[in-house]
Amino acid sequence: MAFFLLSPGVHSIEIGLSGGNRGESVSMSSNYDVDTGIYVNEEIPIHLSTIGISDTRSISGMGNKKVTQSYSGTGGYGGSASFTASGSGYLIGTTNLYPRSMSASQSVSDSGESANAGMSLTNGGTASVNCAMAYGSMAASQIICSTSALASSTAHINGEFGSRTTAGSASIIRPPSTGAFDLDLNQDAQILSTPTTFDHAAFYVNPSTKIQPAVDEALSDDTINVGPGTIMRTYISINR
Amino acid sequence: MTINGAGAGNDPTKNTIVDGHQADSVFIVGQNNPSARVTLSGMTITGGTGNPIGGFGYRAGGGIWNAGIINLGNSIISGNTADLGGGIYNEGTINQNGGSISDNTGSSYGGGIFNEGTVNQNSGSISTNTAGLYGGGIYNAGTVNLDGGSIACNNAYYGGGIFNFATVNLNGGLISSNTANYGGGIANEGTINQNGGSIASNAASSYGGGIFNDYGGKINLNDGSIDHNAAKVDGGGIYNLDTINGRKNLVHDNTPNDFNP
Repeated sequence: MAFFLLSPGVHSIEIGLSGGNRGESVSMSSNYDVDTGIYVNEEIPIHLSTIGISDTRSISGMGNKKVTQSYSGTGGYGGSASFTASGSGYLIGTTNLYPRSMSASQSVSDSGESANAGMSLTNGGTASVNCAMAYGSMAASQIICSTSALASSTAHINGEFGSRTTAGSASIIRPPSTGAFDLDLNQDAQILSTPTTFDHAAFYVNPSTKIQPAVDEALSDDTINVGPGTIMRTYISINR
Repeated sequence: MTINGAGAGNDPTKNTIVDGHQADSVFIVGQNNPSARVTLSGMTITGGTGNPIGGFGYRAGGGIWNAGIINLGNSIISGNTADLGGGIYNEGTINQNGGSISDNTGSSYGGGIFNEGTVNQNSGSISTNTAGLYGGGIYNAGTVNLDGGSIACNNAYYGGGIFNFATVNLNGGLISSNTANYGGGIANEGTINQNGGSIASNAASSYGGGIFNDYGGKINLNDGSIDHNAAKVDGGGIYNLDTINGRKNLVHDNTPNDFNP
């Protein structure tokens, strides 16, 4: 087992591990760029008998933080996880790597000027999910899994937002929004015989505001949930 | 996209009310993209007065102006006014799967709906709407498919429930208790294919309690019934000036007669 406990004051950390035997191998690397005051913890038991790596990591605190992790293994799979944020928040991540299969997850939360979280898997194609927030808060849970060729993300965002879901050449891109929203965002990217993408937002609109900004940001499969109350509006224009 | 309100009704502490505030249509769908698709549910749409149309000072679609595809479920469209289509002006597709289009006013044509596209009514109601001239419930210049629900208690001078200028397929549902001078249930200058459903208890103060089938009108009676309608002058069931095909025995128990002589 490798064990790392890093205290405040560290600004840049790199961790790399790899293992192999009889042509089977796995490797993983973690990178941290964090402000003073961010706590970083990573624990990595190494399974010599099965050539595997199980990793848990966490960070927490107030300030800038940029965390990336990358994975690869026999059979051609590869993957990555990233989290960049500038406010108060945390990340908890787990990773299980074996030759020819892997899974990883990260749960993140942050409140502040910006946050961005994404995971990507390459396994006969690339599946990736990414969501971003500006001037608000974001909580997201993301996973990648090589056996089902899946990248998936669920997030609650209160603020400006954007997202990207890619499976093979299929991609759904939401540019950064032009206003602040309260929404749930569900994303799935899967590489099967036909790569599929799903990027569905559920907006929550307070009747004291207007529906039109959410309509302008919504994609065709999105849902806008409006609370009770009276909305005064000359017209609401829908063209998607 | 789907827009879900908290529920349709008049209580703003419990319901979502979208009020056009007597200016324009409340919703405009597909004006720049006819493939736009939206589901509207759980809300009351009211206070709209329509958008300008045609350059003659007319306004259309008090509650909704649609050139796209709208699914209506458990919403109330009421208290809207326009010259054409007090509730809805439609040149796209409307699928009504519940809720009501009620108490709207078309000062000229189509109290509930002015249709130049397709209206599919599967459930819900189109009721108590008023048109100054034609089509209290629906003015139809496109296709109306009635598979369920009801068109009831609407009023116009010509065609209390429906004025049909194109095609109405009545496969189920009920056209009932509508009133007009001509054609309490339907005034027809197009084609009606009745394959089911009922046209009942409508009333005309002149001709055609159930249907006033005007010149150019064609009625194909395949199934369903036309019964218990009343006309003050003639043609309690159907007042016919053109063509009726099919099973005339589906027309019965009307006052003062089932057909004009």
